[in-house]
Amino acid sequence: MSDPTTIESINAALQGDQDAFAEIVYAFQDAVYNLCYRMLGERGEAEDAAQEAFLRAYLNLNRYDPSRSFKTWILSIASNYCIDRLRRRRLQWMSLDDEFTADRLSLHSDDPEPETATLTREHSAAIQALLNELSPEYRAVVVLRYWYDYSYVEIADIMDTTESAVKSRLFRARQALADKLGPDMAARLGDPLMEGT
Amino acid sequence: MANEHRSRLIQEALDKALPEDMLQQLREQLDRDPQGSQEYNRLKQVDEMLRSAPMERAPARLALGIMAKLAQTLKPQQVSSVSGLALALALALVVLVALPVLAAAISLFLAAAGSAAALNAIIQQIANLMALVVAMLDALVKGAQSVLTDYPQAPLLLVSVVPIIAYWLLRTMRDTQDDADEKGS
Repeated sequence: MSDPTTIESINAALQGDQDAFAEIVYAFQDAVYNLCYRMLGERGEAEDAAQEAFLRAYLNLNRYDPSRSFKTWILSIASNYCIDRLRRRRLQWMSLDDEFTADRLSLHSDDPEPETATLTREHSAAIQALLNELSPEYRAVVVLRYWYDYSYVEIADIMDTTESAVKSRLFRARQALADKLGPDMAARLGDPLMEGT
Repeated sequence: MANEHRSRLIQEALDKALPEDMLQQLREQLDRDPQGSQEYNRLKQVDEMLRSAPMERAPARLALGIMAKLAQTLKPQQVSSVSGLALALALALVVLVALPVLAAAISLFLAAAGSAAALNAIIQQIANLMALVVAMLDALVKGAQSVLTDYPQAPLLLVSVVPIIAYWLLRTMRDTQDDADEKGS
């Protein structure tokens, strides 16, 4: 169930009030963008996908069930869109090194702490490179589990599948990531990772 | 099979979805099983790596981009819904006008089909109507001829006025279009 402010904005947007929809966009843009980025692995594409997800949400707003969480609903639209997009894409994965370089170069000049930001970005990009190795369905499950802390049931609801399918995908995704994550990569990912071993 | 079961227990432990008693069992099992313990450590590494992953924030321009795209998408829809409405209204008007005429024609035809006298009367009515139209046209031509005789310069005046009227009509149409565009934007 969404909060009353969101419900109010949705009702106003349903009456054609675009400012109300803009409030919804501001409230959920980070969540949707992060999901798209983690799914697609590229910022420009993530931006396009987030735009498309919000557009689809607006055009199907009358089909939103207010008893469900709006965030879950819009993330479901975004994840399905990203999965379709990944399926359509003729993949030519970037190498891990290219990914690092691209992310270093795209660092914004107005970041307050450049060194910290660079480290965070490297860490984020390294994880992204690993995620890129997974199939779209496995990736979606991992992202929804770790970045949004959704339960198996919630993920099953978002992805329109069963709880056991979610468990199985998560299981296989973790195994695949563990296989990819060699000692070099673990060292590159730094202290947070090593503390847990 | 046992390994599969152990892996599933490890996964559920990582997701904090394992009841306390089963968690305890798993711990005891891993203490006795170095291979299982190694797998647990590998998966825990992955789990902690993913938990430490930062959330990517949306770029500042994203919301503006979404609202611009939304406006762009809705504009043709609004225009097409307006033109659709106009078309529907026009069709309704045509039907409204045509329906009584059609009904009268059908009723006349049915009446005529049943009686030769009625058919004859209808043909006579049509002939009278046509004669009336011809008489009106004749009067119009005769009037024009008399004007031409009285004022020989009238046709020249009419021809010279045509481009002025055409220019005025075009300008009015363009102004109306511009007004509509301004309102639309």
